[in-house]
Amino acid sequence: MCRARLYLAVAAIMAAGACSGSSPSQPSSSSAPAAADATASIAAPRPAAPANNALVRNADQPVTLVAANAVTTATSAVTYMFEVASDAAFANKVQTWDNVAEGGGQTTVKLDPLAAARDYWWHARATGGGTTGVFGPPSRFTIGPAITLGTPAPIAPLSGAQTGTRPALRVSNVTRTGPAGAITYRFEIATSSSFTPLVVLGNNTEGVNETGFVPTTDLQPDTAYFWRAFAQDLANGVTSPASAAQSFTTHQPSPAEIMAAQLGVPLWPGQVPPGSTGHATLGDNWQLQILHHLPTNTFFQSPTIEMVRFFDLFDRGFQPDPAIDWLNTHGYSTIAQWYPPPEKAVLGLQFVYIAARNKITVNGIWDLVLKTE
Amino acid sequence: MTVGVAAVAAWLALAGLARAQSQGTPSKGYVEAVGQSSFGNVTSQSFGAEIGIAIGSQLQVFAEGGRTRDVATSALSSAAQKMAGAVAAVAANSGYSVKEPATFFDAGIRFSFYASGAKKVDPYVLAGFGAASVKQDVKFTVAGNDVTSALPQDPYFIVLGSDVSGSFTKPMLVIGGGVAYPIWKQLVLDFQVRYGRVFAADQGINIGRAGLGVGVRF
Repeated sequence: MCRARLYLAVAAIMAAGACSGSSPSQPSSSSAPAAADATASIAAPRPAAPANNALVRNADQPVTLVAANAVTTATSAVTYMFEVASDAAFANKVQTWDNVAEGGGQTTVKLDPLAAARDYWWHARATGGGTTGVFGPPSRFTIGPAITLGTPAPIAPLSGAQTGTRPALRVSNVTRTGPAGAITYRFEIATSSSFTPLVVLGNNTEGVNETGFVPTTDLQPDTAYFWRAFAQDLANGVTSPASAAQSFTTHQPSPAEIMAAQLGVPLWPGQVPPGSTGHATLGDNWQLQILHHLPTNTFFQSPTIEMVRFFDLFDRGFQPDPAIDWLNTHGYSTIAQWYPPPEKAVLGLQFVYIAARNKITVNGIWDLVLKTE
Repeated sequence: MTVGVAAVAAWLALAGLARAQSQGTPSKGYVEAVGQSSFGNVTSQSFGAEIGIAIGSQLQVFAEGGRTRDVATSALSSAAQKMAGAVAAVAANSGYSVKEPATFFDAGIRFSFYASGAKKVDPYVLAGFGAASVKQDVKFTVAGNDVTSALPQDPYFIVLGSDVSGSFTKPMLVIGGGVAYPIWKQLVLDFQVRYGRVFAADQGINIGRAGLGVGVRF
């Protein structure tokens, strides 16, 4: 009986050990500090940016390398080494950055400018807890070509010019070096020479020899503006220096100026009559058209510049006779004849009358009437 | 649970032995083989041998040597788990295992509560000092294949430090006790409990052992 109990005890104790497999307990914490005397384990940092095989525009330099932090059991400070080489085997290192302090989650280093139009490889390793890790996987990126753009030269309007409220801004196309992409031009209009704030910002693709831009909304009339332009290679991120800033003053064109512009003729190539516009109103038949003078079987374009000039004088407050006199005495000879009220109130020209509606000549409405005689 | 059952069974058996004790035969020493369960951060098994030479009626000089299959610490397990996470980040179907076998040798003094031969049952305590050689056996696998030696290479780029690899030998202190009982002529059973501490540099390793020795007195 006694021996039987003894064997039972032996069996029980041995069973306890035999049933207990060798199994590590789960650590109570995810941290695994390396002890002071033990060296740490390190899984190398991995490239995060630029993405592998990325193309970095030369204009976007300096490049910042971003590595996902190493996985390590080190409890002391971890530092990083970054190597950049011009070959995949890292035989030709172009930059080395050592003792880079670890960042939060990622560690970064901003490189010095690299030569353009070349491929580069980089990798990183970590050191900490008495262990220097191996370099992580290499990552490749390419610096794009070097491209330079000259400065656009303003063509018009140049400083001091007076323009309409939608002036055409024009610059000569820029010179360029390197494999530039499509060039666009950015036009800026502002009321101050510092271009802050901008009033209008517009873009246009490059034209032949020169590139222009017309604002899509009216500028304020009788206001001084400054403008400048930049040439841009958006694909390569290159922008030229700004063109020399030019100033201009807007002017609201009068009806006569508009019609003269439509005719493509200067309204007043010589002397300009005095007074400001706003004293007359365009009546009927002033649109640009071809009329037929039946008595002489003559076709002619209406209005002529002579008709337009008469209207401009009326618009400036001239009465018909003084208007005829002013033209004849300032180099704009005319055969016009004024037929005053109360019988008529018309200004006779070769094929038409300029008639004062309701015979009102002061601040009146002026119609064009085809002659029948 | 199994440990508790074993303890109760051993207590019942020893209680019966105590009632049956009577005078024994004086001896000059003993030698025995030992099998034990080990307890610490992990449970495992331990095997070894022990020899003792009497230097007095109640004192013996003893020496023991053995091997505990796994004494892995929480620090080792935690570090291994962390690096296993780095492996898993680049390789699917990865895994890891942690073992820390310890081979030890120690010697010291064993004190019997009764003079040799005075009683058939021989309860005793002991204390000793020695050294343990501990191997940190951490393996990382991918798809069932051991990739531990390939960790510094692509795609892992991992360097294992001495916190999860290599081996070391450090001093070890042992204390314990037990009850020896002759079962047939010179054949003796030794119910024993041992506590050992390996003075490892990073984290001290505690090794509890409870088991049975089978040996002979001479």
